[in-house]
Amino acid sequence: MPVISVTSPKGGVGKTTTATLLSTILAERGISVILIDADPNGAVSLWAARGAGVPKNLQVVPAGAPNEFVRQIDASAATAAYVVVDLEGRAGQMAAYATALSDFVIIPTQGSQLDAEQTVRHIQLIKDQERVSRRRIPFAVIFTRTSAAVRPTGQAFIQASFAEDGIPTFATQIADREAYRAIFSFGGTLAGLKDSGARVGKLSSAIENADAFVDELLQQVAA
Amino acid sequence: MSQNPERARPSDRLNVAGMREVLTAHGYSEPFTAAPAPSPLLGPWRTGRTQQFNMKASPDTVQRFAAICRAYNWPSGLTLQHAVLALEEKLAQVRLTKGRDLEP
Ligand SMILES: Nc1ncnc2c1ncn2[C@@H]1O[C@H](COP(=O)(O)OP(=O)(O)OP(=O)(O)O)[C@@H](O)[C@H]1O
Ligand SMILES: [Mg+2]
Repeated sequence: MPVISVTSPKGGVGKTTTATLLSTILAERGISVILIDADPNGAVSLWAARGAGVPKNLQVVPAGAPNEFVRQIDASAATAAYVVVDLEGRAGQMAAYATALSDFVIIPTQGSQLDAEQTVRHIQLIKDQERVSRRRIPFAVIFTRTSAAVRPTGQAFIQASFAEDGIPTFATQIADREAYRAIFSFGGTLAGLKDSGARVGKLSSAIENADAFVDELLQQVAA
Repeated sequence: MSQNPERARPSDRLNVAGMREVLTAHGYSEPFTAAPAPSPLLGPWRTGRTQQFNMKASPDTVQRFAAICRAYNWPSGLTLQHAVLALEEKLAQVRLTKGRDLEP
């Protein structure tokens, strides 16, 4: 039922990685998920088409045309326990629709000052959308591609200023890990990589990290 | 959050004009293509590919049409589709000239 959009005004910040980790982990926990690929570049669809396939509770579908997208989100929400929408790296019509219909919006960001500024502007846009749609749109920022070992001072500063401004932020960060790239090279899921015995560095840490992110999200979005 | 699929979705009151204004105010000039249709949930008979079709007919025809719909639990569009198909098959047999009616 809940619709979760992954959006950012910037490309390459980890939206598709975040959306795919979330969808596959929910599906592997036995939850039905529809993952809508709303990026014309189709990264999610390419991933789904790779050899390893997708978990049986997960359905990956391309987004329809803008005037059908709204119905598609509604129909998906009526069918699946969770709907995840992977969006293009810019604000536009599709992102606006998805955001307006979401029960939760995840905004991935990398820990640089430039990224942070764009993220803040994107949050202002979401706030304005809340105003015109007269409903609260819960959201949170997630730091991606962070170092698992150290927290650079720049990033710590940004986190502190987000906290000061009352910007909700995931406690879990999605660290930069080989395994998160590997699922896009081979297709399939983190658990699938483990079962296949593929030699991927720090795979169990990557699984723990992704699970922690999903757990934290589920605390905020009850089905 | 409720599990009830009947609950009102936010799309029922999507403010497209407002959303367009917000995007413009934030410097995104991408045109909105078309206002999204407010969305009745797609049921087995609601494909989103149908269109409105109003017509007048004799009370007898309307009642018999409705009786078929009820008897088979078909929506009127499906009954009409079957009726047209049946008529096309019949017309293919009889070679009527334009303007003439079928024998009852
Ligand atoms: N946590 C991570 N660990 C390792 N690699 C990552 C991680 N997150 C993203 N990447 C890599 O960074 C690149 C961009 O990531 P991704 O495609 O998820 O971003 P995106 O925001 O969806 O990009 P786009 O805006 O182009 O759709 C990809 O090559 C991806 O494999
Ligand atoms: Mg992407």
